[in-house]
Amino acid sequence: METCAKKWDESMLTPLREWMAEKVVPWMVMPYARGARSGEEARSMLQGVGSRFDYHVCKTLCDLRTQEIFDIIIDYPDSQPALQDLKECLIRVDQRNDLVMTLRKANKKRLLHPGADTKDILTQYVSIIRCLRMIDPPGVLLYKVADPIRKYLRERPDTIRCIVASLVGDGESGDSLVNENEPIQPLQQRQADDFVDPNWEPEPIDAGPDFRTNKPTDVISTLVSIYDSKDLFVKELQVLLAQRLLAVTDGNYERERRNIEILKIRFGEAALQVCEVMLRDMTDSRRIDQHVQQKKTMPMHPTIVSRHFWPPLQTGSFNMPGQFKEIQDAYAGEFHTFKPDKKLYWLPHLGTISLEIELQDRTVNAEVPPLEAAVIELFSTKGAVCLFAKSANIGKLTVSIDMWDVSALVAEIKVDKAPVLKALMTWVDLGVLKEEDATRYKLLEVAEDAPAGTKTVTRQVIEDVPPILTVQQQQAEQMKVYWKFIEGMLTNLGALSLLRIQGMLKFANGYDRTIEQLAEFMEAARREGLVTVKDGMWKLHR
Amino acid sequence: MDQITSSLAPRASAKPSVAGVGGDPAGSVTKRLSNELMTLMMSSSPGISAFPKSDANLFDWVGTLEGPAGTIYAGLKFKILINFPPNYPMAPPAIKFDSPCYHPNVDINGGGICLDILQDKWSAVYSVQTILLSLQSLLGEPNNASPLNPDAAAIWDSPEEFKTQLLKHYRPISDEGSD
Repeated sequence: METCAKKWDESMLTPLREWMAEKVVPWMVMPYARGARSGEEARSMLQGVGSRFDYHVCKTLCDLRTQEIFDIIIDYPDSQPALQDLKECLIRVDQRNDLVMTLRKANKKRLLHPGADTKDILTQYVSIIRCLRMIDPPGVLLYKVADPIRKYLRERPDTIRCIVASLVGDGESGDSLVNENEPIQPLQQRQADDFVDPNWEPEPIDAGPDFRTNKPTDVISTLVSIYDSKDLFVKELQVLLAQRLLAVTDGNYERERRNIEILKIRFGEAALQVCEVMLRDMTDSRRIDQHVQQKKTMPMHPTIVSRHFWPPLQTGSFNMPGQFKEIQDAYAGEFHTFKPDKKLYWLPHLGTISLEIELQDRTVNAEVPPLEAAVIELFSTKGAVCLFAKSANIGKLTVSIDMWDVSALVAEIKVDKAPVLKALMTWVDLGVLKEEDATRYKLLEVAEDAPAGTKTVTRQVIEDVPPILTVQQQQAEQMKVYWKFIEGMLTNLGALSLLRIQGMLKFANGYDRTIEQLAEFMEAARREGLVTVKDGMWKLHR
Repeated sequence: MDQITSSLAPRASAKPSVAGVGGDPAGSVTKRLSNELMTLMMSSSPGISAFPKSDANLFDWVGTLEGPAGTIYAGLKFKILINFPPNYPMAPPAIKFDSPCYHPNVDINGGGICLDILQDKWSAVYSVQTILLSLQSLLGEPNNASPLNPDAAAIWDSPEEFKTQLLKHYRPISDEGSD
């Protein structure tokens, strides 16, 4: 039996049976078929004991494979023969329950703990699905084993993201959960029992009362069905798509388009309409940009998005100083003449700017987020440095203060201190600025550490905050919408009780908060001085 | 048998509610009204606001109108009642002032309003928001040719006198709940 352990890449049952026929049977003839006169007679005498031996072989192999099942599944698809063996053995030996218990235990111990990566859990889950389908096509075993996994996955916050990421086949993670060869089919809804189905079969006897025969659905449907609705997926998908689209800088959206087409087949056209619009926005922005550039060449290429269809973008604004502001305004003007019915709202903190900074002794090339650019621009207006945004030629400004206080920068750009500090550090890293003391930074007209001469540093500064709001942040955004409703009802109806506010909020689309959540929210609004409460009646504070 | 009835039950109960929304025109009116409410809430136009009176009936709204700045009504607030007909938006909503409003085109007793878009010039493209905006601008620019309140129309040209009359009738909105 030891010979069979850990060997999953070939079938063991057939050799074992052969071994029995060749070696064990002749030996068995001695004690059990001593009086046999013909081969025929011997066979009939041996039948009883022989099948008991066969049973023993199957049982031993089955026990062994049951113990190894978790690792067998990890090794899938190389372990397919072992699974075949197991399947055959299980037909002879009734140990299905054992298998379920062992696998559940192994899963609990090795898979469903905080140390496991969600992606790994998903991969293993998919393998389990495939393996158990092989052993037991109706899916009873699977149902029993999968239940705890599904429950566990539902509790993990990043499950959806992982599934969606694998749906669109993230480039860097090569092994996507989806088998490329599997035909893409629409998501299956749980069908009602068809009472006239001639191929109907009774549910297997060990199926629990809440077992549903899920006809061989594809893996993705199974994954998506972890959650009750596919809306969640579509939402997460939009966030992911937005992130990916904004990350694309070379204007090649073919990959995303392909993904969307594939997903359309799965989720249906309607669910992905929003994604369609997002994709069209990207191509449209390029077209508009080309048009504007024709009229007036500008060193800026904005991406224009339809706010309504995109997941909320990180809002935040700061004052673009100096020449950036001029460029921005000029562009907005051109856009307005092209599309008079639309208005541009800038999201100045997104995107990158290519800069060429000419210092006394050197030139620094850098591609930086806008905030960094804004900071260095301020140094340039105050300092004796001449700054060129590529192809935009702004005259030299020569004022001799080249020292900036952090708080002054914060006031000038109108952002929080932390991002400004981060921007300053970027320039310190690039050797353009120097930290004088804790709050003051100095422009290095002459490089300190490097030998004099032209030193060119090109570095990509990676934006570490994703520009798209996560679902949690979106919830906070939504509360703002509900606040508008609360404001509306309190303006028109006077003071209201919490219960009535909750009742009225059903007018707001998709309102799903509990009254406790509302109470918390109203309390927060009271602390901000927006409302007052007296005898349980809330009213606007005027 | 048990299984059959149980699986049929939800379908049977779902039917009437589906028919209630799709078959009966009130469903689409409700939808239009809740859309309009959403737009109005999100538009945040200064000085105009409206909300359904209760969560049970989307056809009865209460609105608040602030006098536009720079007019004689600046700083004053008026409450209005909006009642949507069942065939809205094919017919205009019935609107009247709840708080007394001394204005050439407003009936000082009943609160009735003489505004063309609320009568023969009504069109289905108008919405609560456009009505409220029109009413707001009506406050500053009355149509003195067809007055509902001839006295007010007569003294419109003497702001001092008008203001006294206006304030005599004006009653500030109380903050007490409507229930």
